[in-house]
Amino acid sequence: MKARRSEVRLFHESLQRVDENEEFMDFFYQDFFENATGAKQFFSFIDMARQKRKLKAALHMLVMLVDDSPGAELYMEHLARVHRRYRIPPEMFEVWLDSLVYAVSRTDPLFDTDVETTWRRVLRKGIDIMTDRPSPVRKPRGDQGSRGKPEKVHTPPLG
Amino acid sequence: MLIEWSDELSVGIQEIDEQHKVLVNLVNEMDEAIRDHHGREGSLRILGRLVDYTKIHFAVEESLMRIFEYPGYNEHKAQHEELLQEVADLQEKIKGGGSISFQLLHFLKMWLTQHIMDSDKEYSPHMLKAGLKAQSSNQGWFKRLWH
Repeated sequence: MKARRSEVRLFHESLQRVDENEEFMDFFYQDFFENATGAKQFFSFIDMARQKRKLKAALHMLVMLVDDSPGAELYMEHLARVHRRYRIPPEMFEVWLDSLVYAVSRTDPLFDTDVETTWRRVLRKGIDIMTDRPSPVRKPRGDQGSRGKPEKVHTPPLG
Repeated sequence: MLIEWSDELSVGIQEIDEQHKVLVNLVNEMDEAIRDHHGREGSLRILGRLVDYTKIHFAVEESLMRIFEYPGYNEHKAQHEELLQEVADLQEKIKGGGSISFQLLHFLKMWLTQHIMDSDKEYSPHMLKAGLKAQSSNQGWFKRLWH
């Protein structure tokens, strides 16, 4: 599914706006830890400053991916292989997506349904590569900023 | 030029920077070879040199990590192994008739720059604190071995 130029631009511009807001990552991780059981425990061993840099880099890589930049898909496939050793359940990626959209809704002053749809489509493309298959269509949790009661997902132990 | 060396890519350890510059140059050389239509064999030769040099460079980094008891050694080594495996797979594909594409080149560029700026920059403060010298007065042993 090739992204339209307007979609790439919309995503990129929204990403730039949230990048300027230091709270973006905090909203994301706070929501993610609340809704992905085990994630907080796992990340307690991780340098969060570094993790935030990595997430930021991954989001910018997604811009390149939807922009069909050469090498971006190969690089995402590489990231997928790296993540595979952590045996992350596919549901975790769904929480990741919802938490990111939630963080965008809290920090992008121009957030609206178009921005949300674009983020979901772009992140979905990344998830499809990370999980090596198209993800099931899943109803988003709650509305933009206000959250529905999320279901918990469990992080398997590393090993 | 596909990758331009800049201070942003420096890890603050001269010998490692020199090795990274060689890797950057080899990726750029491969880019030129493809652009100038040097043929599959020419590109494969450069890819072979890139793989050989990368293996040596990784071995040096891993030795330093062990010597200076870097706590992120296992994760870093795993990243090295993953890349070498992927490049080996790509090499096999190319030897089997596939072409060296700009996709591969840009993947190598992304991997190299991301790896240096993220993972490699993580170990340098630890090593410098543990006593590794940032500048080497003599030409490093590694440079003397590789031409």
